Amino acid sequence: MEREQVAQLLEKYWQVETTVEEEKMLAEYFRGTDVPLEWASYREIFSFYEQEKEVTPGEELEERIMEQVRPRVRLRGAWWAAAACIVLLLGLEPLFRMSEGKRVEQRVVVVKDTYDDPQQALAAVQKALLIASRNMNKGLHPLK
Amino acid sequence: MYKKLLVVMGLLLMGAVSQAQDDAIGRFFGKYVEDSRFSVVSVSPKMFRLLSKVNWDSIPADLRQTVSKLQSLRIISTDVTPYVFYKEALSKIDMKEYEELITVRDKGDNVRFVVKGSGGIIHELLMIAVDKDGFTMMSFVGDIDLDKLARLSSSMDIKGLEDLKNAKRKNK
Repeated sequence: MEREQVAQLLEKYWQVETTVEEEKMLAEYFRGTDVPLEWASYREIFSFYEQEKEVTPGEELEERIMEQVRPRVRLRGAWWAAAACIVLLLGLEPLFRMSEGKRVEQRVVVVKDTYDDPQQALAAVQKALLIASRNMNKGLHPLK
Repeated sequence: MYKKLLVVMGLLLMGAVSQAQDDAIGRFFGKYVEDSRFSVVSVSPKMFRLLSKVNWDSIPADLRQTVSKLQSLRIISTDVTPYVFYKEALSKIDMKEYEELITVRDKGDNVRFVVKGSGGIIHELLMIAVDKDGFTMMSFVGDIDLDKLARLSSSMDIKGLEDLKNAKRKNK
């Protein structure tokens, strides 16, 4: 191929007007040995394209890609479940608290009321307090 | 996200811990409340609220104040094998929950006061007493002023107390 022709083709090439055949010719030319020094850089470019053509994807490339893009159904589901649980617990929390309060009250009132009449209940409380007080004094003033 | 999760976990944990605290006295009462060997007195928070409707004129001020701050009273007593039940009651008190206040040992006459409270305020006073005639456990829940309580017996006429003593030991 004449130098003139190559120069024309190169011009077309950079305008992106070359056909596939013309590009093949160019590639062949630059693969040759009689490339002028000023075009040495082109030689590198075209040889690079040639080399890159040889590169083929690894066998398990597709699997690797699929592995990357596979929807993480399970994981995402777990996060949603966790979030739902938290929301649920937060929502139910007042309920828990209520039942706990109830439980505390029940714990205090383990035994049924002995008296229906407040007057009698007061008398009993009074007596109980006096017994407790007397016993306390036993400890506080043992010599009396 | 993680912070929130931690807070929620913390809350849940706290709830679990507070539930784990078992009321030894409640258990003791619960165990023997239906037992015919025991006599039980219980005044519930509901009844304590009703007490305000009673005529208080004959009640001394000290006593009135003390009663008005109480929320519940439980007494369980027996004259059957008092020392056995005294030992059992003591073994059921979790001393991590209660603080020992007064211990009296005079021959066979033992009295223990333990309290539960926080920051100088006593929320529960528990008295466990035993002599050869009987065993008594009393639990006062409320806001309890120990000084006032100790003064009660000296400021009151002892007659009512004697009545109760006689009533309690009428089968003697």
